[in-house]
Amino acid sequence: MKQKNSKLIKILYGLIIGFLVYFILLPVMSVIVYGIKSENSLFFSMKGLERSLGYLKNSLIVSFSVTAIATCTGVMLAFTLNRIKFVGRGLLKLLVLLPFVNPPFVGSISYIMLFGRRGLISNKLLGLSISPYGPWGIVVIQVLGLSSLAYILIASSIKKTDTTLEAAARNLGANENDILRSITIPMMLPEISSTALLVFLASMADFSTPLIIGGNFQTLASDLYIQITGLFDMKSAAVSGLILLIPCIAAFVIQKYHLQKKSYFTEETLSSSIEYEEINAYTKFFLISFTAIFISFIFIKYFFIIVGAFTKQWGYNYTLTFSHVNELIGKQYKPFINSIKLAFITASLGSFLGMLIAYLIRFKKLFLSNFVDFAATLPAAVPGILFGIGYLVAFKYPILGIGKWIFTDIKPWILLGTGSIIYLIMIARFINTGLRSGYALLEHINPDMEKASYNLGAGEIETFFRIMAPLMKDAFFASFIRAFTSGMITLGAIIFLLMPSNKVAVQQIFQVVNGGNIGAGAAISLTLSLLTLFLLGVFYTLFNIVEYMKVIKRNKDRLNIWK
Amino acid sequence: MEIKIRNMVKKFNGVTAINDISLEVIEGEMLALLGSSGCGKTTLLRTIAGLIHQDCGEIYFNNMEVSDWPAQKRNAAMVFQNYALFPHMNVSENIAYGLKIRKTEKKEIEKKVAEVLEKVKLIGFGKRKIQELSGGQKQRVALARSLVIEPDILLFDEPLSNLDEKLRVSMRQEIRRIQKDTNITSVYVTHDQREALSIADRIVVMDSGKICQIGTPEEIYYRPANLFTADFMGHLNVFSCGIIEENGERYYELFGKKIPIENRGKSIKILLRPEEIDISKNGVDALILDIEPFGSVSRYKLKCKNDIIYADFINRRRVGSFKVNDYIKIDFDVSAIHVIEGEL
Ligand SMILES: Nc1ncnc2c1ncn2[C@@H]1O[C@H](COP(=O)(O)OP(=O)(O)OP(=O)(O)O)[C@@H](O)[C@H]1O
Ligand SMILES: [Mg+2]
Repeated sequence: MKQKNSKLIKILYGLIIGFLVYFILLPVMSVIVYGIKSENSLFFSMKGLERSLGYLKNSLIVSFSVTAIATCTGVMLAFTLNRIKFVGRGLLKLLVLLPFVNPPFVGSISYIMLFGRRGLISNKLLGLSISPYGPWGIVVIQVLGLSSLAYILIASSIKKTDTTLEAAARNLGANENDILRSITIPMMLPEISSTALLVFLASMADFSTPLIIGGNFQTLASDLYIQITGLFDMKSAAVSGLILLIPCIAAFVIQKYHLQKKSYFTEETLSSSIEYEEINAYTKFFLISFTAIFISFIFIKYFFIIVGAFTKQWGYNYTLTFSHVNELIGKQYKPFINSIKLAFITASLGSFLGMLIAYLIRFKKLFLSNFVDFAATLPAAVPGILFGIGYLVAFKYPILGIGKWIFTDIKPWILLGTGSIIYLIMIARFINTGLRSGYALLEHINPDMEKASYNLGAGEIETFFRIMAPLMKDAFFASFIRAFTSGMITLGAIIFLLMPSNKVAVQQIFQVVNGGNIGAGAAISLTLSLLTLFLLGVFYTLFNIVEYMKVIKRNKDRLNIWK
Repeated sequence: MEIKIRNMVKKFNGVTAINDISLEVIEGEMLALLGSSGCGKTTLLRTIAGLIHQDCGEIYFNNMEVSDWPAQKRNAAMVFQNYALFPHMNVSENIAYGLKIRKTEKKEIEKKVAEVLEKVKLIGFGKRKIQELSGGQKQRVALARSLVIEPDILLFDEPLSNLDEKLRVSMRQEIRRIQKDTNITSVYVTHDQREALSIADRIVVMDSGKICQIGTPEEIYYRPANLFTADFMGHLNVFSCGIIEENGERYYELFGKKIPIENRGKSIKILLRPEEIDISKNGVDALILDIEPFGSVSRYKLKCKNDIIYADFINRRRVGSFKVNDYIKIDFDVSAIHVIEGEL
């Protein structure tokens, strides 16, 4: 039986499609069109192409190395922290997530403090004065940041491991090595590959680390930044952008349409524990040591950020100082407020929109659902900086681009100073987070429940808010937390769209560190991390209090019935 | 292969799953472990397979102690409840897995896989993906995968509980046939008493980690040793009668019938299966309170004096049927009665 959707739902759906087309497809198409079509495009000139291909090679060298190392690390971390029992595991599980509260490039602060020209290890201990700048620095810093991403993606699938399959193999005579090789790893392969592709995307999109630590070694993404801010060469930028876009979209399409369908894991939660009952002592020792070493790297990274924040000038003057922090508190707190506002609003709206789209696609069986799904997830594939350029190109005329046809005699203005544009681009990016959260939830909800509500006479809106919304609340919160955390540290998408008045903290860190001021950079990074952690704590507490109050209220109501 | 278990205990975080169990499985027999959910059947089976290690007690295979042997060495193949087929391999690869692990030659593997596919009636399914099989077919593949390694012991953990009724009946006949043909010592876990009765040479009834009774299906069905077994095997009518002593004779009374007994304890329970009750002119009066038709038989809830009695009568058209609130006369044969001792 085909279910009839009310006008309201259709109008809503139409508006959403409009939003997706206008704020996602149009900017992405603009990049492509601009790169290929603009008058005397460099795309077809050998010189321009050759130049960009050189950067592509650099990008690929870095991204392939980072992907390989970070994915393997993620797999080992996920195994150790989820399948092996040992003391202190809970703490390590928390620490491994720390990199999420900082943009990846902050690692370069500690890196410079340790290995820089006047670094602690390279210069003071070894007396060297070699340059640390180059591809290996980029790889090290990205691996430190992205292994956590790999970890969290693989851990979520490892938790669904069906241990009876391993028991079956053991029962058929396979030893633990055989089982790992022939059962456990092959079963996880689709998830591992899709993790690898997401790590690859993140690494390709990172322009800030190469800029800070790459020296002469620049990548496509960082070249984009240089072309636009340093040389004001939009044409070269567009060529680099296009060449960057191709492997990213390819990786995304493979991940989305090929790998996800292959997953062997079922969504049903298996109650049995996934910890190994018995495990070879050497293997256990190796895995735990590996994890401990990796996490101590994360620890060292933060330790030196803290040290840096309170040191006058690293490498020259090691006196303790509060000047960096004082300056922050006194003069430069505005960017933090902006960051919080931006992250909070866009994470809420993005998550809400994403969940709404998930609901409409899965439950309402509306037209164009594949297209909507594709458009809503596309921003995950497009490197942030490129997406930002898309906005720059698409909306360089007043009134979000429409002005081109109205005020035909006006020269293009960059975004006409609308502060809302950074909100729009972030919402566009976070829809994907909400969408995935929504899908994951709706797998477990029977659409009949909704129909039952209609049968009982409830209207569409009432049903959504009374039946669906309470169920979706947890998923919304999860999506919000993820988007908020990422919103606090996003730079790529908004860097070209920010104006002095709405400067955010990450941008501040980037500018300061890029300008070589380690101490101030460390102080802002530290503050940003602590602030993010604090806010996450506040959100969790509030969410739990609200839940708790509801339980109390429900119990009271129940008591009242009996009175 | 003969299996002996001595005083086995297994606890999970303080919960006792197996509580001092001793048990023997005779060479070539099919032994059913029967019990309600959570009574420790799976745990017992898995300790035999070596997938779980017991806290106390020993296991012997043919008088050789295997308590510390790893699962890999025991050659006790298990058929899992949820099939546990490897989803990234096709049917043939699943079946060949154990042989590959044993480094069997390729030719030999092919031959054996073909043979076993025939045995479980899955010829032509070798290249199929697991996801493309029905529940019954999956269960056959799981069986084939266990059979192909020529195990000394076969362990079944509720292998048919995910199948529909009709398929369950035919699959259990097939399992029985294959087990008889191969003569492999088998342990079969189930919570379905009918399945246990039809498939097993002997049945072990378990309750919260302990053994209640071991016996042949006849013994378990007709002569349960205690109330738990009786209840589990579907004895609906349990009468607790005191023993009457008159003129130096001891007897008890049921529906006016005096049944003499030998020397027994103070308190006894009398069990009478619903199907042992007859309709008879000479019987006692009973009022029909309720009728529950099952198809070939109907279950009648009767009130006779102050007792509630359940009786099963075969439905035959020519007999016609009774209605609620009718009175009927019922009787039973004294030989149908089974007496157990014990307090309620
Ligand atoms: N891995 C485990 N960790 C903790 N407790 C367990 C574990 N496995 C089993 N138990 C507990 O041991 C008891 C026996 O479990 P077992 O799985 O053997 O029962 P079962 O008879 O097979 O039940 P079912 O018919 O439901 O499969 C249960 O109380 C169960 O909760
Ligand atoms: Mg079980």
